Amino acid sequence: MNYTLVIHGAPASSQSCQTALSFARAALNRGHKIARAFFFRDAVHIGSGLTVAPQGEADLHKAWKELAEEHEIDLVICISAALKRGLVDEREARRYDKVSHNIDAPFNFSGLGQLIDGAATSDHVITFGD
Amino acid sequence: MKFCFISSHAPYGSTLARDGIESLLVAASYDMNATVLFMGDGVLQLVAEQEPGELPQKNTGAMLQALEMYGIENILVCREDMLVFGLQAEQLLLKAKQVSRSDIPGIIREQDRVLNF
Amino acid sequence: MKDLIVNNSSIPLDNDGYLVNLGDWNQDVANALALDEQIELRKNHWEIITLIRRFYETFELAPSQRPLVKFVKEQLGEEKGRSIYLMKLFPGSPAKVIARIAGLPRPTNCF
Repeated sequence: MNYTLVIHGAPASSQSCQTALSFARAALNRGHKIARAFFFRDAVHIGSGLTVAPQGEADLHKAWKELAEEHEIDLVICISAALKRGLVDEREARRYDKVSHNIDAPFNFSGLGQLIDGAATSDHVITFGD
Repeated sequence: MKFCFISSHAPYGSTLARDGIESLLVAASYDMNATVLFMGDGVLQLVAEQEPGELPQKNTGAMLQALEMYGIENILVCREDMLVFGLQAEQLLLKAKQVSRSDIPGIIREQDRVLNF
Repeated sequence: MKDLIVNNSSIPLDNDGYLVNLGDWNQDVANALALDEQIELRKNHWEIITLIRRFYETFELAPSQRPLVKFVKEQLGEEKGRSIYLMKLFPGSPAKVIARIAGLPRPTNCF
């Protein structure tokens, strides 16, 4: 089976990015495929390359990045949710005259169309709420 | 493809209601056969004459009135949850089809995809 | 960011050419924005601009193409309520171009 995951909660203050990660690993172990993870609302913070995980605690940004690279998961950060929270990639930083950017590959910016497209083209869509 | 959006949070205290509506509108723009179901605290999104301008926030009630323009006709509301808030059909800002809580599993079963807000 | 000069005052635009402050909009600003799109506004253009502003006031949304067409059809009839009619008046991507000239927010990247 092919899954699209929709994640709403902030990595630092909600369990949702971790739960989605654990689900993704379990599904992959069973031979399923995770086509796309769509980070929406506060979950867009997962994309920031500037987060520092406390020693001895999970680094969710790194964990998602490594899982995506190993299993070719499309990691989409909702652009409108990200911009209002101070998360920008290089292109948007240029467009809005911002001094730096904090989103890099494999995380990529796109719109809600990718949420609908991912849900439509996967066998299942699962929401991990706040 | 049949998409169901289940909206179960009140407007304004958080942006879940608004994020759900925006996702719903995108689904409709992508030619999906979209249904929206308001249940739990989500029924409060349907109360007529909302005026959140002083908050200041966008009026999600006004956005819901655009559903027709986006070709979204399947608008469902949980009857028991309306009663919880003492809401009558004539107090709603649009014509929604009332469904009973016990109908909801069947409604979900008919859908190809379900998203929660 | 660049500025739009209208009647000797300068109106800030974002890097996509949309108004930074929606309150800056008036008919002269609309004419200047239209010229930037190589459009000379005539009666038929204004009819659509007035409508899309009413859409925004009513629904608090900058419409994408389809709801815009449907709204025009409801308000002005079959002949004008067609994509091709809007394309002729506002070439390119009508929903985006009309929103810009009419002083609405850019239809969000998400749409």
